[in-house]
Amino acid sequence: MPLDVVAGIDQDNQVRIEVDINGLYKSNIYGAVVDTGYSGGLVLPLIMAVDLGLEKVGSSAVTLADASVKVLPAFLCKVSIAGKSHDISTLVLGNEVLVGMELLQNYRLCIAPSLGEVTLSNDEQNVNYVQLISSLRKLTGRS
Amino acid sequence: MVIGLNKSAIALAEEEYSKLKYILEKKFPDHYVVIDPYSKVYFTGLTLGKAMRTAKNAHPDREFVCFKLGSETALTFN
Repeated sequence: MPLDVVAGIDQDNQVRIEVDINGLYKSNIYGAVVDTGYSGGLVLPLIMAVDLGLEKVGSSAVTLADASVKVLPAFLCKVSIAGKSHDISTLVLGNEVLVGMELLQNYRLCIAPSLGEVTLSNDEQNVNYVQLISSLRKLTGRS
Repeated sequence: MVIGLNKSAIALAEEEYSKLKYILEKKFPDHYVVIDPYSKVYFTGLTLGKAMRTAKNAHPDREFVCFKLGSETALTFN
């Protein structure tokens, strides 16, 4: 059953979904770009991060798309999709709001480019892939 | 204004992580680890957000360095 979330493909062929970002000072709704190549939860431009107020956590090494490694400040914020809230790791970088796999792994994302449709639903199978991989490693003696 | 930890604090956390890594990789494969460089206390989670939340709930005033077991860096853009 698709969730009641605004989602679609924009004129630059980027998949966008509606997310409610809850900072320390205020909350705002954004049409965030889906970035399946990003392993973290959220990327925010500096101006939005300052406006919302993020919880500072510390530092994290990040491998960027050009394979260079940088140590960046790491933050935490709450992101809600269709009313369900998640604690999500956040980086302040660039000039676009991105959502990565840490947030998306809670959902089933269906993209139909021929129809220009994007739907998001709860993953009813609720497969815990990390535990599944761990179990497979143990079974195959690769742990 | 300085945001994030300084280089010496990050080096302390990396040193602690290198000591813990082998055992933690066996116990918590593919988990995220956040380490307080000064007290050496650490927290793990299936996602970085969960590990961060556990750490901040326990020590709201401290800052941590983030790692992912089995990976060179905690976060990646591919």
